[in-house]
Amino acid sequence: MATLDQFVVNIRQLSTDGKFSDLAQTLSNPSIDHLSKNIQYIDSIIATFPLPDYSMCMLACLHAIAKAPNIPNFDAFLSQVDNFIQTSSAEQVQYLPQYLCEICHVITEQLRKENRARLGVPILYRAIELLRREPGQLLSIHSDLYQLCLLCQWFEPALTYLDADIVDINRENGKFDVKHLLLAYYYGGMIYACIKQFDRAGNFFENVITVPSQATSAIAIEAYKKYVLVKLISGSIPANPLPTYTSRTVQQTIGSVCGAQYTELFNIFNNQTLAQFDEFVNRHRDQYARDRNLGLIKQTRTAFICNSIQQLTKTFLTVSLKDLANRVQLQSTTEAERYLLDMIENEQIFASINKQDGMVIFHGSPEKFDANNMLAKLQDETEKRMQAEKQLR
Amino acid sequence: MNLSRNFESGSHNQQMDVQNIVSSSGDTNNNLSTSHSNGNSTASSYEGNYQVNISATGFELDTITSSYTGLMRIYRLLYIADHCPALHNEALLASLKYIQETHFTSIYKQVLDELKKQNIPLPNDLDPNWYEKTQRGYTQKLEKLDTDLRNFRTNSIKDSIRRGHDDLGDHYLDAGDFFNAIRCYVRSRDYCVTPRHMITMCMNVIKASFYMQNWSNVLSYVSKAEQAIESLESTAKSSTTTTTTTTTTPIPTSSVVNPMEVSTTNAMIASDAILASRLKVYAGIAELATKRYKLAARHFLGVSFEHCSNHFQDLISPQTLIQYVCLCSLATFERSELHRLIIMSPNMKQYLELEPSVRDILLKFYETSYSTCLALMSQIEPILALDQYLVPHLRTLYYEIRHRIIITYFLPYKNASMTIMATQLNTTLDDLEDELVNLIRLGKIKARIDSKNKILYVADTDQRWHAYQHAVTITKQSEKITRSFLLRSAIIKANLCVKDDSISSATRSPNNNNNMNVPRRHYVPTGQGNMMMDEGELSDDAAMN
Repeated sequence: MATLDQFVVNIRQLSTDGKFSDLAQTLSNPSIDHLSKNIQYIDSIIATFPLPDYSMCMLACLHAIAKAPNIPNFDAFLSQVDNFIQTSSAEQVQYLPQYLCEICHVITEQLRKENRARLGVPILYRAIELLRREPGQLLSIHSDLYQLCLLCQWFEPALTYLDADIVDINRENGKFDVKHLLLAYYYGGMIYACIKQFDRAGNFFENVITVPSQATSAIAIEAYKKYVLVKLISGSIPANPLPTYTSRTVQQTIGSVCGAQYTELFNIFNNQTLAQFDEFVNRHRDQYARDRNLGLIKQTRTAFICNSIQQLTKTFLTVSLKDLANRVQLQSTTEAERYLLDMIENEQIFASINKQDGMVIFHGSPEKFDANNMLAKLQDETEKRMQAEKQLR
Repeated sequence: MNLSRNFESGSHNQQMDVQNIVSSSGDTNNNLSTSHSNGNSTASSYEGNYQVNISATGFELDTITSSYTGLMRIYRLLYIADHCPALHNEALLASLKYIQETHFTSIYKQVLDELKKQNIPLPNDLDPNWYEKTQRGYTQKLEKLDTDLRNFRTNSIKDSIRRGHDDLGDHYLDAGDFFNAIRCYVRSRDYCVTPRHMITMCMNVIKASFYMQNWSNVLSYVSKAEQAIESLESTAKSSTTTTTTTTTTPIPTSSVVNPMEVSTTNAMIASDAILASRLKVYAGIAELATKRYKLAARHFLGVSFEHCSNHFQDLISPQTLIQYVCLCSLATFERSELHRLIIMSPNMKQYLELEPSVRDILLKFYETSYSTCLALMSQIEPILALDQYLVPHLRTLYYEIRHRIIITYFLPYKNASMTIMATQLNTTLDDLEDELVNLIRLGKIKARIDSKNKILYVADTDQRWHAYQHAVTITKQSEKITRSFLLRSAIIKANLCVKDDSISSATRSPNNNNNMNVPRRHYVPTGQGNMMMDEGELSDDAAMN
């Protein structure tokens, strides 16, 4: 007890003196971890630390509570943490980022178990705001936030962070784990897939797969499976499925584990008919069900049909609806018409349907690149690229 | 009945009735186009035990028996017996006669059994004991040759050992044991001294590999033999120059000697030329078998007519050669090459005189009367179907020629009426459309089909649009790449890497065991009841549907 009091006095002193780095060191020193040993008194200790001056001490106490085997009153703890985040001083907290992150991990885990993800989202959102030094910095809290957002299907908070490019990763004093990086991008990809931005989802999954690795992570394998499906749905089928800087171990594992079911889809997409596609999918339905990818598979089927129709636009100028339905192996002309209308609306193809004689006429793209805004857009994009490249150097 | 089973490519024995397919050209084209749309053709590809009806073509067995000798004749006759019901009996009896001239006892037995099974009357002069006699003779001769070889070895005279091996190899070849024959010939290689020995050895190996259908072997030894011939020629040249220098010295006796030497060198050059042509034939057939049709055609073009008609009876007849040349070149040569190398070549003219149907096909193709050309091609198809080296490639070659016809037909047009095309190509409009779709997809024609009016238009490429589109795509790509590079540099700066904890002793915490999946799974009450779901997948699945 005496040591505890002494400890508390000590850190108070350091706090008021403004010796934050010393304070950080004292607090994170595991051999004098009095706080966690004396959890029962923690509430009274907390009361003695008014914010924002004593943010670090408060943070350390909260961290001690979080690390304890079980938290007595979780909701109260949540409100404590929330309060802390809203009223603490950012500069003090910057000295002990790993504590805050660990608190967030614990919170996330608990909320996920209790299925109350929605509560945690604002807390984590503000935590990220507090902790990150610049908009392009990645924290482990990001992966937690994305996870909770997926669970409660509330995507807006995640999107604000997802849209920002990451240029830096906060080391969190050595506690930032690769797992958080992989998870952040994996969940991010899934969020994008949910809101149907498949291009960006594909990029995110690709980022997971290309993280330098000497051993393959299960996250990377799952990411690859989704990557294949998302790439097929977005319709951009790359020449070689993975960028060249993917590490060798990952490539090998992917080849051996998911080659037959997933990579094969690329070939089927290009060369074969709808009936063969369906047959292939049915054969591997169990695998897909196990990976919880059935929804994506259904979308892939639609993408396959769209792809076939697009190939037809390259070979035909006009074609009868019946013929179209036959060539793409659809059930009936009404189904073909439905797909065509969808695609025309989404501007995937340019065509008109003549119902009188049941003909479809394919036009070229009406985009003439004449308008000023198009040129302006191009110019804009080019400038952005040049800027980004400068940053890269 | 698979007497010529060596030459059949298919593993399944379907009784394919090519009869129906061959007799009407319309059907042929149907099969062609259905095979296109299906991607894999089972009908009308000559596999298994197909039968050919040659009643329309006036093909006679005499062409084979008179043009060929030796083992080649036997094989060809057996192949015809397998696949042509009309000539079945004749071919078997003829082959029996020729087998009796060799030591090929295994085939003899098979043919005899077959004849007996089908109750075909045997010729009266058949020697019932031929089999045992030949077996005995064969083993006797084998022993004799073996002992001879051993004697030579003890005497260690290189040349006689080499010749001993050669003789042994020849004996094996005669009896049809090709594997041992090749073994012996290859052993004789160690004792080859001069290039001429080398050439003999190569020729022997090539012959044996040819019958064994080991095409890569054939090709490699052909190139070896050609090198040896070149070195031989260079030494011959230097020897002729030495003889010419000696003539400058005015010695009366030398003038008597010289014509003799020159004539022998002339004879050698002539026989070398024959050898070279022979090698070309072997190479050509090997390339044909390995589907390199253009090379095959080029090899065959180098074979001179006199050589082929006089010296190659045990290998190929001029008719067969020109058939091969015609098909391979029509499928692969450009029109100018076709004109220059075949139609205008005096060498090839002599071949073409022999086979008027082939000549007609070539000329009609060149003057673009495609319908007659295609009709003629389907007419001679049954004859070609009886040639065992051509059969595996017959379908492919016919398709290739058809594609070529379509492509060259459409070249000068900006838009072409598909109905006219269909009549020119002896097919129906729908089949033509299917074929065209296939060709466009493969990128061989740049065109688009107006299915309503049945017109084929040349695809107009709007360069400007493509350029702009390309620019937009590139910006998107570069954006993506820049972003991922930024991320990657951040990762590397932070020194992050997926590691396995059992391997490294890094202070960094490891993270990639399969246990990882465990904490991610949890029980989520959903509408469908308590299913164990992955938290991420749950929302994914629900959102996707």
